[in-house]
Amino acid sequence: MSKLFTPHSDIFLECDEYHQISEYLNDKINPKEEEFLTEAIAFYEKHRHDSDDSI
Amino acid sequence: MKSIGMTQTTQFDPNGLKFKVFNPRKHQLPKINFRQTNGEDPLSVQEYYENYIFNGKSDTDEVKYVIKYFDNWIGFFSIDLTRLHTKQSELIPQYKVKGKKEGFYQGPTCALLIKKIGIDQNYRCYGIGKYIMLFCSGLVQTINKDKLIKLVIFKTTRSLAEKIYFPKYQFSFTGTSGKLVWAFKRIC
Repeated sequence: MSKLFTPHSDIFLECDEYHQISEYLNDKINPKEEEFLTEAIAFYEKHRHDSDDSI
Repeated sequence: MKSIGMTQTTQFDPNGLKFKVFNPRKHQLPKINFRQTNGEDPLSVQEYYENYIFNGKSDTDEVKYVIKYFDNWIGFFSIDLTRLHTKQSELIPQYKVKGKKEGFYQGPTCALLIKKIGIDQNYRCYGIGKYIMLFCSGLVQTINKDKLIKLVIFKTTRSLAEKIYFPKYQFSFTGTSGKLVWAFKRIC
């Protein structure tokens, strides 16, 4: 898990791909996205076994 | 008459899913078929599984999760933090040179990269992809206290992006041509 606190890789996107993502990030978050993110936290908390490597 | 697919979907219990950080010393997974039903493996998922999970090698930087549904191993995914750049940024100077700003580049965007997703052919059509997306999006929100990670991103086929990830889970995707695309969704 601690591996996830540091970026290990770089992805070089085509300019149009990068700009598409930048524009998307500049848009305001919509209610459906907010709902997904809220559902995601609840799901993760219920299913997290990040320190559990048992069988 | 009910189709098999409908019956399977209604019987699937997401509470039976278990996500475990892969430990090659403890987790011995069986041979699993991750190819498309036509036998193709355009995202090299089968190859990755056989090299790094089935054979127990763990010499990559990413975190690998293996997935159980009750007592059956049914899939895996691997994740990593990555920086997104534009190819142009390799050519544009990022800093002022001798007092002149010769180009502008706003800097890399930090994202959670889902490097590989594999779901057993026998467990397709249960919507397990959605649960993987929920798990990853939840995980990254919990480690993203400083809000530096902006996206979850992964490479997939255009067909899957168009038929599943965009309409069902609102993942946007890049480009208008080509077989493979980047699917992405903000996490803050």
